[in-house]
Amino acid sequence: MCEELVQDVFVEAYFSLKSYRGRAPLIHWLRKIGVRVGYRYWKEQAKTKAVVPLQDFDAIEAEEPDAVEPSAAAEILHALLARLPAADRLVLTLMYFEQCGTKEIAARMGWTRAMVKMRAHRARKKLKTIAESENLLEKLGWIR
Amino acid sequence: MDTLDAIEKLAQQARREKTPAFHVADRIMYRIRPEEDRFSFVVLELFASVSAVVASVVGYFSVGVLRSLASPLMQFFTPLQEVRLW
Repeated sequence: MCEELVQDVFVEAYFSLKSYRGRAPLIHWLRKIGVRVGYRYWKEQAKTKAVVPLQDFDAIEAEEPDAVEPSAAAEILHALLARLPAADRLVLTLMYFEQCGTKEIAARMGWTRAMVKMRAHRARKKLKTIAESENLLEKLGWIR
Repeated sequence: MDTLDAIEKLAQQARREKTPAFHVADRIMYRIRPEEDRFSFVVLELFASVSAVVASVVGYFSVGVLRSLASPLMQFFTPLQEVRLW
């Protein structure tokens, strides 16, 4: 699926190349397209409501947080975020995975900064509720 | 530990995940090219349609004209039929 989304990003970039005015570096413009393609995909996915239960993941056994496999951590985090509405998921994904600030998220999505802040706050609340209902802390035995 | 702190730590680890590389250049070219070619096909199809319409009109009139002719050779003798030759 990731491969198809990467293709979609470049194909969309190719066809909307006329709209690129060269005011910002090309990578910024490509990122915007990437975020929108991903967002659209999540919105479509939300219709199917297919969510992987957290119980399906193996418990992460590690002495130190640094010893945890990054892919395992990413998988659990993605599974948690997938339970959020697309817009909330987008904001937290950009924050958690790409360490984007509210300003950058606002620029990528064409939203206001206040809107991003509000969405991030609400999304965190929702995520906390979901994580607690799924007993996330039990799953993450390495966190003390 | 607070759940959100746990998620933050999880995110810290997740960020260390290496982004996989995808080689999609060929597939992108494949998807882009038909879009470019489609324009020439549209022009070609339009030209073919116009030609077909014109050919039908010409054909319709040609059939009418051909039917009115009993035999093309008879055209030479038609004026002579009215003249007594002997």
